[in-house]
Amino acid sequence: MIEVKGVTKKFGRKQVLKGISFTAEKGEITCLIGINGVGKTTIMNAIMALTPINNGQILINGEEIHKGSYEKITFIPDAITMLPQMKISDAMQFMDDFYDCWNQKRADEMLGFFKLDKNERISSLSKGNTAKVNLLLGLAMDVDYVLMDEPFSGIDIFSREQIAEVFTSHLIEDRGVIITTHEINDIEHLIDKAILLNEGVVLKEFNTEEIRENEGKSVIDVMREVYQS
Amino acid sequence: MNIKRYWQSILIIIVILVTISTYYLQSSFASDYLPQFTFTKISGDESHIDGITITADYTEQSLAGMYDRIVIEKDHASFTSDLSFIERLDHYDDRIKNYRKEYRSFMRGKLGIYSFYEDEKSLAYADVKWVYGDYVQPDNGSFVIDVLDKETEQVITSFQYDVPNVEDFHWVSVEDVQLVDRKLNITTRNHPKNYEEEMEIHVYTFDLDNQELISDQELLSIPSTNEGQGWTDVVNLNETDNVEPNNYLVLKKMVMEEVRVPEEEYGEYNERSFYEADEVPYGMEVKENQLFAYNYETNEIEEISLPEELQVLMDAATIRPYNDEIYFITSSEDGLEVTSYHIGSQEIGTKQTFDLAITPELNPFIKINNGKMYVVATNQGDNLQQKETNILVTDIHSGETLYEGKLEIKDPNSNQSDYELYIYEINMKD
Amino acid sequence: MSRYLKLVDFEIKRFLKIYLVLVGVTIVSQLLGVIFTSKNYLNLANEMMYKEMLSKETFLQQYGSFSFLQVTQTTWFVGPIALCIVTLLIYVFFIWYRDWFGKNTFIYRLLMLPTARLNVYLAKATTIFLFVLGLVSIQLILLPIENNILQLIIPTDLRTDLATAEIINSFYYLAILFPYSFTEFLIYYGLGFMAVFVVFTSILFERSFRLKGVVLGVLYGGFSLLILFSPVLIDGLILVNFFYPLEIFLLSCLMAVIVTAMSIWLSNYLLKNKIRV
Repeated sequence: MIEVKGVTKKFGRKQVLKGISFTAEKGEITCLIGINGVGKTTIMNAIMALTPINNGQILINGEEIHKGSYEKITFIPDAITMLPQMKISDAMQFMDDFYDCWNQKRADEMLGFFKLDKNERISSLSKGNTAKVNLLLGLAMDVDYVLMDEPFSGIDIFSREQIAEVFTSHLIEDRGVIITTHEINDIEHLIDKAILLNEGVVLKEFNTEEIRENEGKSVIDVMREVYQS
Repeated sequence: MNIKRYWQSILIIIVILVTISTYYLQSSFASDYLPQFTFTKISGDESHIDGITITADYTEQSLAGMYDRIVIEKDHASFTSDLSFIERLDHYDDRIKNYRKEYRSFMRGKLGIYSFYEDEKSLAYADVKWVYGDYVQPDNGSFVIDVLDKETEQVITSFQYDVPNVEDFHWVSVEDVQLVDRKLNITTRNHPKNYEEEMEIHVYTFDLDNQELISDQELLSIPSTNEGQGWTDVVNLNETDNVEPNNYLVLKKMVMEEVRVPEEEYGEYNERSFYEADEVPYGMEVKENQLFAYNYETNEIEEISLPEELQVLMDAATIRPYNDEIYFITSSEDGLEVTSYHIGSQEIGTKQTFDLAITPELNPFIKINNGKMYVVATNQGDNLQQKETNILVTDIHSGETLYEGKLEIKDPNSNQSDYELYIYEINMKD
Repeated sequence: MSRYLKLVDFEIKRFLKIYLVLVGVTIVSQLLGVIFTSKNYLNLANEMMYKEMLSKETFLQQYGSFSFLQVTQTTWFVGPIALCIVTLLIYVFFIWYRDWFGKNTFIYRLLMLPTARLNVYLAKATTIFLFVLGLVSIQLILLPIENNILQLIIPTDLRTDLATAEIINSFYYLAILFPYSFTEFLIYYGLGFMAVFVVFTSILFERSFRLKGVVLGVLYGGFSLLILFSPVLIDGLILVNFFYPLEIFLLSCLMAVIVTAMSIWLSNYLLKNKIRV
């Protein structure tokens, strides 16, 4: 379980996070929803210790993050985290060199699924293919938790479909996923938990299935209620 | 793990390790290529040069005028560049180094061999410490006086005393320190702020028991002169780096007049590019030459009226006071002439003549120490095929030649006349 | 193999192309320099001896014999060394900033490696050290080769032969790169590497606190200098000449170790707790 407890964060005088708390379970897809600039990426960075927080605590399986945690949790930012001059195969080799949890078989499988040529250089990939490689590098790791920042933003419709397919596959299955998005449409039916954010606070945290069954509302219905009131 | 993948990094590391270690291993043998210095005996007993150290600059023409400081001892010569880093750090006078070894805590904060005095019982130190307020002109200066009992290694006297009338001086520097019966004489050269005077020589006498200044004597003062009028200088003939007890302080006052050097002699003057302090600077002619002796025991100064035959030697001779005598040493084709003059009786004492194997171009280097006179004469003009450096050790009282020898230089890299050796110090180790 | 060593290898390969270009430029420029300078002298000698009918002795007296010293003073020789120095100085900064800037933010990857983040810092420092020492070694290998080329071109009686150590010690700038004794080599390069650690830490201050970090970084640099020179300052201003040279030296060494340790410790802290992507 990932626990985010009362996290605050200031950039200069601007308070970006004003006491955020939520949890994300293994085996569930948790979605951070909010318009751009509400601090979704900052939360992701904070979970991965890529930016310091002012107050609060973040626990992964009950522990604060440490070097070993990076074999258990990974983050796929919206830009690729490999050097442009690398070939896809170099990037995979790099992951293999540094991560014990790297699963080469799964990587090859995804390479086939995405129809990528591993001799192509990252700098020459299309936007969609770059996003796919980015996803591949994260998902081919045998980790418990995957954080994804806007995996669908700015890419073509076919790539989006392919990526969405991944979410229903065994690649995600029993992992815990935290995903951020400002366009809920693509993944509304995939997510288990939605967290609605605005101006650095959590407005509402709910289980999508429960709300659908008990109140007959879709995520978008709830969003409409919360954001327009 | 596949080593092949890392071959570039491994190669870089191997290249670094091999090259740098090879270079520094090689250069640790480089001293084999340095010139060798050996003393060759002509006559006498070699034991008399046992403790000699000759400090010189050594230049090879092939190395574009680069020079290296060298210290030559009886059976060993060391180039500064050949010393270890740690040895080079400690580039002080040997005596200071020895004091530091022996009296480690007493020597802290003490530099400058001229500030020391040593006899059988005590080691005394005196210097002027300046306090700067505005970092341009010193605000205040005071004597720092420390005396150590050598046997017990206890500091028996330690005090500071403001320099009297310190506001009158830009600067006061210590030239000699002498201890006579618990009275400390500090000879200083003072530079006054007023425009009438250039410089004053003072002796400050302190009563060590009461830590009091007994007297401040102005021995000599030199008036300011304007440009073109020549100038006056006072030279301390006692070697200022002497730490041993001295009976007399001998001063030479020279009044100089500017003379125009005839153009055809320019070259000659340029060639003689260095001179000893008690020689006449070029382009100047001595108008007046006086000798003064200051008795440290009686604290009295008197002008020495030299007999005519010594008076004429004043310009050319090397003059060395030693105990109660002043030695006048001249070299010519006839050899080395040494005449002694007794200060107390005002009479000429012994006259000695030594044959030198060479005729030196310049006055030889002379050091009188422990009743012996050490003479190093060099002959190394540009056109000479045979460059020579001779060493002579004599008994100052009997005039007996104790040792005569040659300093021979063997350089594996270049021919014999390619070098120049500028000697500027001779010392004796005990 | 440890992740630290893999990181070193990775950092080396990232810069290897530019590095090899530097090495190539140095080799080519210096070899050309030797050939041109020697040929020029030889032409002069021929002209003087055959056209002006000077005897060999008169020529040598007027123009002097040829030695490697005439080569080391040329831009052919010094230029590439200066280029290498400047490039590596810039790379001390670039090795960090390149990971933050540009489309591909590689710093995410580096900070998310399952290893102590300090290893990233140490690997980058090690890479700089290896590049510096590598260039120094290349120069050491080149000198005797260049010396031999000179001897092939210039006849024996017109030249003064110098050993590699003599070439180095007779030229001030080379003598700094290759100090006379191994002890000094360790001191010079030790100080240089300490400086790299200090600059790295200042960079991390900037990367952690951005604009405020620039001020902190500069202050940290000044503070490090103050600590390093504190024995000399104390001996010069407060306890005048109190310390003996060897003591000053040992105290300064101790201070250098302290500054280095402090830099590494602070960097570790910043990377763990304060760094921002």
